[in-house]
Amino acid sequence: MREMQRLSGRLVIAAVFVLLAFCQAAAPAQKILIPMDLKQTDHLKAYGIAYWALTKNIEVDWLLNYRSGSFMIDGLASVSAECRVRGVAFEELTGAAAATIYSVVQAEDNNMDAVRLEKAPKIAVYVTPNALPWDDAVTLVMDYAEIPYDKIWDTEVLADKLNDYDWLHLHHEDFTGQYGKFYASFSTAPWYVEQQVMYEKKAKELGFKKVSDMKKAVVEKVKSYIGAGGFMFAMCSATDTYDIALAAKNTDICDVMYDGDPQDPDAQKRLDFSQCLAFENFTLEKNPLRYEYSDIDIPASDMVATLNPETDYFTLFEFSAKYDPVPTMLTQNHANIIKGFLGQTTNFKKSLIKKSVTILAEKDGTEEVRYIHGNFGRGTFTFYGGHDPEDYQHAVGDPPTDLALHKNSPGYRLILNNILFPAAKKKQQKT
Amino acid sequence: MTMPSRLTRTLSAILFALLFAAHSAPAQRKDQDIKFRLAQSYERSGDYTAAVAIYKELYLHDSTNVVLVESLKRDLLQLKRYDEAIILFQSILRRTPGDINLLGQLGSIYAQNADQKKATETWERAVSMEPKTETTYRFVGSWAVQSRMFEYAIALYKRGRTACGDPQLFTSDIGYLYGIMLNYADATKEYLSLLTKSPGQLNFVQSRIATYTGKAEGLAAATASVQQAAKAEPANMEYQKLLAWLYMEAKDFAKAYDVYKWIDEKTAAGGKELFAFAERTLREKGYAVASKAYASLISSYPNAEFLPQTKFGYARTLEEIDLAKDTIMLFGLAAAGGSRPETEGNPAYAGAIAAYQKVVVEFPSLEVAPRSLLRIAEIQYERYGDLDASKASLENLIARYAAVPQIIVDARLLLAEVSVARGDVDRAAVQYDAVAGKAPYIGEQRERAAYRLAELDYFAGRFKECLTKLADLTRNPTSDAANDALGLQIFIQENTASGDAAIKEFAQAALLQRQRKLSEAAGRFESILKTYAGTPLIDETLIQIGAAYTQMRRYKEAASMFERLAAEYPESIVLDQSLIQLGQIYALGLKDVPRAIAAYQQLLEKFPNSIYVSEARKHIRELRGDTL
Repeated sequence: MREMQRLSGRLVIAAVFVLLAFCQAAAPAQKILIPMDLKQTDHLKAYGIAYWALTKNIEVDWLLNYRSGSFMIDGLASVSAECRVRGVAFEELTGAAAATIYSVVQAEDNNMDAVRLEKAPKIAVYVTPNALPWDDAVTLVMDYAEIPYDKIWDTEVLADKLNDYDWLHLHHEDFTGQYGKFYASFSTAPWYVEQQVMYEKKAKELGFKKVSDMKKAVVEKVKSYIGAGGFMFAMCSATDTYDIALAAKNTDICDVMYDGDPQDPDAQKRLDFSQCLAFENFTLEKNPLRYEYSDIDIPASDMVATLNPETDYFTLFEFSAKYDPVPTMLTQNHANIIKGFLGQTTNFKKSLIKKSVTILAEKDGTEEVRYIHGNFGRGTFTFYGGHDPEDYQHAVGDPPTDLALHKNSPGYRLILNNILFPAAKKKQQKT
Repeated sequence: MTMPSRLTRTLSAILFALLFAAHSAPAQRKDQDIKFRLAQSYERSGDYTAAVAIYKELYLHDSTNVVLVESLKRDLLQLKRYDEAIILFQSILRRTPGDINLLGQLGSIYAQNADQKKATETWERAVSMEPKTETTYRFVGSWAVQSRMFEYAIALYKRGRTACGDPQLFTSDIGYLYGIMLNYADATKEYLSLLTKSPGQLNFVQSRIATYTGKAEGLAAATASVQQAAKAEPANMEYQKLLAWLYMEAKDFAKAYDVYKWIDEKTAAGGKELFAFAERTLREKGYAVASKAYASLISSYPNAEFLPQTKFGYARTLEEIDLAKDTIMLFGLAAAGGSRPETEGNPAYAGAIAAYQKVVVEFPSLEVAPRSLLRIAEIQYERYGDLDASKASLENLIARYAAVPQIIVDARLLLAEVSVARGDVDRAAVQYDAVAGKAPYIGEQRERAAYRLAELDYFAGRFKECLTKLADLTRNPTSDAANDALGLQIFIQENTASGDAAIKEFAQAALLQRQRKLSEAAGRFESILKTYAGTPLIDETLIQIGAAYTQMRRYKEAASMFERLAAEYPESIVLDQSLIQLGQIYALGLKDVPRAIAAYQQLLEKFPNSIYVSEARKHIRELRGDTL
């Protein structure tokens, strides 16, 4: 297991500081600061600018906790022009002003740090080839932020194509092989029938007897990818179903309508929690007609009516920027208390989360954990509950969210933090 | 021992035996009932193993109990004890070897046990019991479908057709199975077969095919299959109707037209099919094909009851076709006063006008007549700038069709605009007044008329009266007119603060511009530049000159005005508006992409909070070919 390494770039930053101080009398815009506090006009596209700069081999410094996680980029005309075109607020800084900011960020008594982003991560989204009747928050926000990505599915994962990517997002997926457990509501809907046939064909094509067997092989491949240093991010049902599928390696948890034969009556006993990344000791939901996989999700999907959208908020934890840069990167935001949103998997029950996993956000005073991060092998995984940060209860068939109306969404920012952090230059840990 | 006593003993023994049996049989049944209920309780609690043990025990006593067999089978499968379930069914089948349903179930157990070979062997055994009966295939097929062995089920159903001597059997089932297997071509072929057998099922077949025509590959496959079938059987009306429907789904109006024309002729529909097609195609903006259809109807059915609507529809298509070709649309209809013809000799719209006139002459008492007159008047005004002709058409309309109030309101509004253009503002005021009525103004047309009335005061320099009228309009913040009213209100208030000579000149020039006297308007605005050089109106004046030159297609001069504004009045509050217009002139008029992008970028740089920012960003991205 390898923790994300800290910047060795203290020297680099110091050198920048000195250089900028010398250059203060030169050109007026030495640096461009993209503030990420409330001054930012479009937080989501700001990440796109950072990514765009990396694709142009322009280095970006991510100033953790400085004005809610701002970006510092060389003061090139192309950068400011692109910011204007994309509607991203920026500030042109003289060398002296930039040096002052760096000195503030580096000060020992400030919980801030600068992380050098060097290379645009290559992104893969695990998604079915047919368009599902609902959308996915991650692809939505990457499209909006203009961050490019490739779509891959089971064939590519099982053919070891994951090794070509730095970052993998698992689209709203059910890795247990139960087709989202939509059977009770949608078993006759054309999209459901077609999806099941397509999955079965794919399983057969790839040499698996059942879809659930194919998905088990997929989660194992993803696990190997993480172990080898990959970054995996999952939302909604792709989180708990991923771990359930790992745990169910030696049993059959799918009922007859999902895989043609009944569940293993002893499935619960045969779960192997040691295989899971994030959860343990959970109890499966064995009713095939209930829209829920296990007791990891809290409140259960069919109990969400008990939640009040007006009071549903979760809180981000604060981490030490200099000592815990990864959780700090993942929680950069201009808001600490974030509006909740439902999903097939909304929150994770705290008592079922492995002790080795870092909790990044939770609903205060409850068992409900929203956002977690952990390490496996040389890579990391991050799970984020809920479906769409700007659509409280996104139902099948609902139109996709127009992110142009949510440019400053704190909930969506958390997704984009994940995309950028693999770009960070690795450095030796202090602790 | 005597015979009677022996007999008595024997009879007593028999009686005792009977009494015992009568007493013990109910007790045994009661005991079995209790055990069965206990097994059910175990099953409900999820303890299938315990339930199976009891069911098995009960089965030994009563192997013919169907409910018991079903319960035992269910729990054995739940426990994945397939071998035991198979033995159970085999033992039952030994008693009733010809039971097709039992064989079907046994086959499905083999399928669950991943033994597809045995499954199909068992199902084949079932089929062999009654190989010429439809229900055999239906039974066995349903077990195969439940076991998700779709390909086998399809093959089985197809064999059933042959065996039963009915090639139309199972078409709906096979079509459905092909559909869910994403084999849309074969699915469509099955539905076509169904249609052959039952022509009345066209709607059902359409609904089935519609489940996959939403996908491009589904629509293409269905169309190709139906095309092939229609070609093979050109006289098959249902095929043709299905094909026409598919063409419409694909918005392939030209092909749909041919098919609908054929259908119309063959069904002796008297043009009704083709008329319905033309009306739908017009609504879906397939103007060229709709026009062709209307023309065909006019020539083929001169006495049809739908002839008036057909002739009006035909005229509408001619107008829309000319509008699409009209280069005055270069800057869009939204460009203030920009949608005007280059010359009055423009031959465009002549066909449309002639067609509308025919409608008026031939159907003077129908609603299509005033509608046609309104369209003629609008073309004469908007496209030709022929004010007299437009006025005459509108006056004719208002005089003859007072009984059609909705059209009269539109006619009055247009007549008022024409009157303004003619310089007859009093007459315009009468028309606007007739539409607006008294405040409060409710409804879009009334608000629009009221705003235009206020504008007449503005053009005449009666600013106080104008502001009073505008105040009435700004009370309804949800209306479009309120926005315009607020804009004019602020403009007047800002420019009358230190005298109103300049704004009076400006309003007169604006009236000329409204009247499309563009050269005169430009000249008047230019004189304002000289006479009132120090007033706050100058930047707005430059904008108006630029707009007038744009309308006259004098793009270089227009660009120079906007550039001058940027150079000489860098603090102007209308500079953002000027830059967006400059960008459009470079992009659309002068085709100078780098300069267009530079203008938009200047806007973004200098006016990051302008209302034009989104538009500028969009234009930059379009010009540099970004994939969004």
